[in-house]
Amino acid sequence: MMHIIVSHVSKTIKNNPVIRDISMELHSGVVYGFKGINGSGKTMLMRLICGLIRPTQGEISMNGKILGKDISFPESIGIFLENPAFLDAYSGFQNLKLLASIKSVASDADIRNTLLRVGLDPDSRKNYKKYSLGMKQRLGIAAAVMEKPDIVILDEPTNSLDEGGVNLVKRIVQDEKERGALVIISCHDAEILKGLSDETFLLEQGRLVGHITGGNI
Amino acid sequence: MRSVLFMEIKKAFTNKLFLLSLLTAAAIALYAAVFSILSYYKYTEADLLSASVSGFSLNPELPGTTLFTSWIGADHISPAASLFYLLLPLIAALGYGWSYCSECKSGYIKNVTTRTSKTNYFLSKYIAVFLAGGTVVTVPILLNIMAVAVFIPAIQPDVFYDVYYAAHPWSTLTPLFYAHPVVYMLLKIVTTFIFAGLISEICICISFLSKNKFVSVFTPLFLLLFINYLSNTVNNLPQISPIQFLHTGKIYVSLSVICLEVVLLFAVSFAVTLVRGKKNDIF
Repeated sequence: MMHIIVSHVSKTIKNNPVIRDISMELHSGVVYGFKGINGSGKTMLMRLICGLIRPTQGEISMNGKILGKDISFPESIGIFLENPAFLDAYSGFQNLKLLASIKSVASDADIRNTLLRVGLDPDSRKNYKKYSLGMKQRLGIAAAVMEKPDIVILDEPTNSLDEGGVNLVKRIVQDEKERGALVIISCHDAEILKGLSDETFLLEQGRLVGHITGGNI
Repeated sequence: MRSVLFMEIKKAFTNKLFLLSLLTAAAIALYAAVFSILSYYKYTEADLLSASVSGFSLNPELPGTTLFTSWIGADHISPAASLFYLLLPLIAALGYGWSYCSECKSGYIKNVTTRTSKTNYFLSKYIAVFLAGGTVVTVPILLNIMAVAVFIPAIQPDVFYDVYYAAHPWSTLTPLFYAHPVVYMLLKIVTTFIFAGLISEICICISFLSKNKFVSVFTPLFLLLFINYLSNTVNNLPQISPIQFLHTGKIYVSLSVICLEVVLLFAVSFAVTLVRGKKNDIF
């Protein structure tokens, strides 16, 4: 079980406040949606929860452990933030295998299954450089979920995806939720977010302006 | 830590830029070898010609030209050898020095750090960059020595032939050059490896200031050229320019200056990489 407490978190970058006094509680088995226009602070808040950036004020704790003090990163997290980034000269499978070798949690079979789940051929020798935008996006999602992490963070996962790809993201998010993961997702499309998230946080200019439980955004 | 280190080393030694810079450096080093070999045979031919005219000839086994003065690290005549040492900072940087900058820019760093820790990532990156930078410069030097050794005999240098050698009488290690030339050569190769490794670390440090790959790769070259310029403005002092002292021994080289520079480069680059790396946000 994962329990995240975001407590009065603010982040200022070069005297520019990008997150202002945000507090929230997040639990396992729930899909949280972050909604807001560009520059509202969705990605920045996700980065804070990932531990990639540290809050200027406030703190984030995960099962009682404070991020940046007790732990530098969440112990089990899968992220897909902004654009997918992999090594150009490696195939999709090779890229995931290289990343999986760090924690040694996911086996070759797990990687193959994950690639099949996102609609990519695990046996393809095509280099990542030659992937289409949609394929890159799918590989990014695969990297986020292949190790069955406790926390899954997906930032705009439906970008560059066709209708089939969007349905695939919906299915993956549902699967992750059923597995018991805490899922955080951001999306421009209100309809997609409505269908995916159990709770939605509305952000505006770095502030949390609304918290909706249920389907109506 | 071990898994991230293996991953970084694998990435360092299999990337295209590493192979490209290794091949380019090897081509320059082999060209320098060809120059040395041809010079040696020109000398031998001239000797044979003079022998046919006068009936006398020099002993071809005289230590005037030997492997120990003809390999790239001692050859002060070949333009290719000079070019190799002039471009050494760039070759070292192209090995893997650019990788941190590139991973920050692409966002790949996020994939790695969230699976381990910033300390593990930066420590592994530091070691991999060092090894790749050292290897990309040292392997061509070894190729050059192998090529030269096939054609030019490794005759022990003799102090009576000092005018032929690039061994400055004041330099700390000149006695070693005459007494144990192989050890001297090996020591110079190891020093070059260490310097090339540390020079490529400058790229990581620069990447904390600029996320431009071009800036990160070319800064070590310009920095070392600047040091080279400074060192050329002073006389009768030990050489401080790595471009000069890693190349020939014809200039005054002090071992203490080399050690001081190694310690300084290591301390600054290691501290900046670990401290700034741990402190900095990842976007």
